Amino acid sequence: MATCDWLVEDELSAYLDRELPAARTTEVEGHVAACVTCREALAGLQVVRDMLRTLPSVTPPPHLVATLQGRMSEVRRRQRVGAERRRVLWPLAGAAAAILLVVFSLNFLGPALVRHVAGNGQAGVTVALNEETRAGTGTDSVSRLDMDARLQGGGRTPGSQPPVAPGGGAVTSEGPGSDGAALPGRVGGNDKEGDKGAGQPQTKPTSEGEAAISGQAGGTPVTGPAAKGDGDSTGSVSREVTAAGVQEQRGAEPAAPVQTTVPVAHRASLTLQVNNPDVARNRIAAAAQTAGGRVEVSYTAAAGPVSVLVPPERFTETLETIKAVGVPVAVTVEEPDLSAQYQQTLSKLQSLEKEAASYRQQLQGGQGTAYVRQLLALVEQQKLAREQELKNLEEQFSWGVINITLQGREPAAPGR
Amino acid sequence: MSLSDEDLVERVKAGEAAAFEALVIRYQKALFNLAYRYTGNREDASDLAQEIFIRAYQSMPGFRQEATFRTWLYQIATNLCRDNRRRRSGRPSISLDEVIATEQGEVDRELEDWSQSPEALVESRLDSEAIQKLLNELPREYRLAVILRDIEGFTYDEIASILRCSKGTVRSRLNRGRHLLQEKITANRELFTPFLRLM
Repeated sequence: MATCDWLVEDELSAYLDRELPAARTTEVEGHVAACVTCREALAGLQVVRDMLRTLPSVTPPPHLVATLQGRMSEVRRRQRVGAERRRVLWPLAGAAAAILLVVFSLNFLGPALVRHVAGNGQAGVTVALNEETRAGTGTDSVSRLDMDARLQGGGRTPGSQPPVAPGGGAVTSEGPGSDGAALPGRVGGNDKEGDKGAGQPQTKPTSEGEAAISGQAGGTPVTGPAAKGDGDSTGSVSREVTAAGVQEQRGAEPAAPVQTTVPVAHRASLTLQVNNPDVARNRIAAAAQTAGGRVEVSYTAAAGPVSVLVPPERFTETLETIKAVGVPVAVTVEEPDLSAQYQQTLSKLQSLEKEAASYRQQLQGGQGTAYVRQLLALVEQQKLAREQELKNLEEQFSWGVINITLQGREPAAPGR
Repeated sequence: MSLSDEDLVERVKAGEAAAFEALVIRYQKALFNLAYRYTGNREDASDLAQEIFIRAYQSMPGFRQEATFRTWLYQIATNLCRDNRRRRSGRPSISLDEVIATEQGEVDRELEDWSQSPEALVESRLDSEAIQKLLNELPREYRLAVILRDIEGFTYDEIASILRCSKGTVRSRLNRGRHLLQEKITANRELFTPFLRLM
């Protein structure tokens, strides 16, 4: 409806909603009282608004919540399957990248690149190229491969296994670093741990019994203390958090502790001032490997971030070793104790297990009603949520994380 | 004492599925209403409401609580409303749309039946359906603004957050939406029962 020229087009509608500034509201009020055109326009808008306001509230269909519950269970199931697939596929992708790298190195780059070959089962892929190699034939391809290999190993959550060659072997190739601090290179595989598909720092205790208890098929490694089999929502799980750590037992397995780690997270971040970031990066990687850990992210760009994962029991000593690589500034260390949270979650899970078992018993005994079935479904859902929560906590204390930012104190050598 | 939205969100993020069900129960009516007023029929509204909650559940890990949960949920809802229209553009509408789609002949016959209804309740329902029909003819951005303000009762600031636009844009869309609806009501007075025809 038309208004007179005195009002801006949308002012009348805003006035109706009391959304004009106070001073303007008073002005519009005075104008509307005197202007027939605007008064009629306002009345028209009021009719429309009132008609809309009188529309009755509609009631959702009664099955909406129940249908949603079913769909959300499906979403959660897919999320779990997706996470599991990623957990399995990432190492395979890493292994494929490692194989390609070895083949490429041996066939095209020749022995000048691969200085040292040894198989000791250590996990991780590290490629350190010196200026001699970069200046030679195929520099661009090598640099790209180098970056790909690093990225394959990066950005993954603690507790997941690093990319490895088949059989858990590790590949490291390097040229003689100008500072003489490059890592020894390795091509390894088919060792005993590798046959289990471990590819995990060897300081973690592993055993056949553990593999059986974990419920992980296909030799997928147990990724942290008290790791449990995914997808088994019906078996009984018992875990204990003691001063010594977390213990897990499943069903009638022996009571011996499967793995023991104090449920404390270990995180540190620091800035290191170094003369040569490349040399420092290599020394950090060496410290990580010595401790049975790995470098999670390491970009070749100068002063790029480095993230090191180490077994918790080697966290402090590795941090000290890394600090000695340069001049540490802004060091922060956090070691939150997660035992109470872990124990609380575990208790809730155990109580849900008991509840679910009781419902299952009722159903098996023929006493179950539709209501009991619904209750069981609800409890199973809650159980899955708790299990996920537990897993998230376990990931936090399975690995110590040290994040390092490198600051070069002098320009990189020419040719880098 | 019931938990706040924020408490429930924290619990959902910690993996407690039951907390999300509590949020669903809390918001299902409001969101089903929004979906119904936007789509104009219960079947589509039910599908849309489910999509809204599923999307919210999936997006929950990324929810940083920069807006309130309610605003965030309505942001998802209005985004899906827009997508919903694109997805269903080829689908024939049902119910009232079928009757009034042809404005010749059939509409007059139906209207005659409506106006003869003795029950005030039925008249009210028919008026509601007529308004709903005209609401569904509004361009989607005007329709969303009008629904959020006049049916859901959000403020201009809240609507601006939900639709991710400026307050001035909200003001403009509301004004245009209302004027357009007013023109449609005037042009289709015969759709309404005698009571509303007098308004």
